[in-house]
Amino acid sequence: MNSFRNLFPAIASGRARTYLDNAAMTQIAKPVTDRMAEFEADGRSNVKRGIYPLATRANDAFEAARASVAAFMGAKDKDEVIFTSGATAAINLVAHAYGAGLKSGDEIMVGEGEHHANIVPWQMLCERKGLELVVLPVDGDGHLQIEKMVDLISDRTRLIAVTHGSNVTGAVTDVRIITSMARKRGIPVLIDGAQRAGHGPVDVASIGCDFYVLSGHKMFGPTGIGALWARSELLQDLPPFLGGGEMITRVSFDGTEFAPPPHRFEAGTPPVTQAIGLGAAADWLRGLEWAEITTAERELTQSLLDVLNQHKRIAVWDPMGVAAGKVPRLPILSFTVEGAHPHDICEVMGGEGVALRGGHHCAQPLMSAFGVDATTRASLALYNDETDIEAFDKAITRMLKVLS
Amino acid sequence: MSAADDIYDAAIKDLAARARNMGRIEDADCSHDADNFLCGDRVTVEVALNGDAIENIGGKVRGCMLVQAAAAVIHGAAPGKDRAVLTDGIAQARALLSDGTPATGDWEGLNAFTPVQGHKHRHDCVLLPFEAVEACLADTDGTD
Ligand SMILES: Cc1ncc(COP(=O)(O)O)c(C=O)c1O
Repeated sequence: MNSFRNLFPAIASGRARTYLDNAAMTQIAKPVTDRMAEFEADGRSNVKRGIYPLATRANDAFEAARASVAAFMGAKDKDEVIFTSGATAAINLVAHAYGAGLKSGDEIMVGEGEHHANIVPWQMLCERKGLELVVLPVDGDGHLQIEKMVDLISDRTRLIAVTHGSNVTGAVTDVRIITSMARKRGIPVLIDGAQRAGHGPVDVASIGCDFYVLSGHKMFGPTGIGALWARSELLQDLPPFLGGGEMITRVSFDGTEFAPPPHRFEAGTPPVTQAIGLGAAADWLRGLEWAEITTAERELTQSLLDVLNQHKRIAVWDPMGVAAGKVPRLPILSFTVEGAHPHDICEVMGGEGVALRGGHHCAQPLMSAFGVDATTRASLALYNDETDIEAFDKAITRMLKVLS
Repeated sequence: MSAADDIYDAAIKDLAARARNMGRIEDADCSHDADNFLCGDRVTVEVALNGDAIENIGGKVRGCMLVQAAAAVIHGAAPGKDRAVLTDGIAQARALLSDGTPATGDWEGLNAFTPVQGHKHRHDCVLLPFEAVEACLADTDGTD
């Protein structure tokens, strides 16, 4: 049995029996809940302004969590990390704060295969400020056509926003090619790391991006928390997005002075316990052997593919021609079944104890590029093992019979 | 048999297969797209009226088997009847799903959905085509 299973109570108990919906939300790790429970029981107090010992300790724990997340992302300075409620909120923060300096006619480039979280905030910004949204297309497999960037970048391109890993196909974007092309032209790049973060630490310095976002609930942490990393040179000059307490240095009716980053971007009481949980998840993940885990995830992805490929009615949306292992990819697979709708597939497979997700996965433009309305998705995490593949195999066979 | 399988019995599968017979209507009096925003399913309905009578119902279903089957029930029951038949249909569908009240009269075909009663998260699938037709007809109110 996979030794991680014991660290996840819902997996160990069998309540989340064959849990293959990790791209939507991973289970929470015991080291995370332990640290959160400890803070709630022994350290609870508001952060940022308290003077008494309990408050100082709470603030230290909160700032230590920020440092943990910074280390997980390879940031050089913990104050480049801003806690948000998740990846969506982080992208919206950038759209507002960075977007405030943009002018009518400026352009934002996004990938065609993005999650709606990395499309809609940009569309809204374009609407507000009269900007153009330029779409970097995917090919028929959902693979981003980076080579088209050269023609699509213009002297009005002000930001490029792409995902690090697709939540639909598992395709990993070659982000370094994008950042090096963008860097030469002085264009900032935002990387949506929501899916990538559950598969090991990242290194924003070597990626060469300017903004990186992630969500706690997809990396074995709590819900309601995520983070934005932004290059400090950029962050210094950005105006705040939300206003309120804890983000100012002085308020008067003649004018208000905003606090320096990261506090300028964290108005109001932050989700302290969740931030501490995210820090715990980041620490725990940093301590793992990722070379081994990545190999195991790849082998299981190949096993999932082998199961799916046995059946003529099933087509896998596999952007990389996966001989799993040859190209970097996340352990996420989308498939369609001739004559069966993804919701019916998920219903039947769910009845067999296999948790999958069916639908458009908040990536409707990608679905349109595929020419389908919806797919069924299986997504793995480090606690999945061969027993899950066996259960998946059985449930697929049964589903094909029931939905014949 | 697992808990989920009872939904997918022969009656529902048969109905869902019939949804394919529902063609498009070029010169419809109204058309409406209804979306289940949670799952992304979409039903497009087109209705041709003759006075207050429903002459024909057509459209396109992009959804699960239950959405397709419910569209087929409507397509089988409503044409040739007064438009009020749909108000009755949606009331009967809701009653069947909420407390198992058997459907009667024009809407007996709805009884195929009896197994869905125990699957609350799928009730909206059955209701989506009804809501689409209801909204479509509301667009024509007072104009015909
Ligand atoms: C690639 C990607 N980006 C962004 C998000 C949004 O994350 P959240 O809902 O946690 O804000 C998701 C969530 O599924 C995702 O998969």
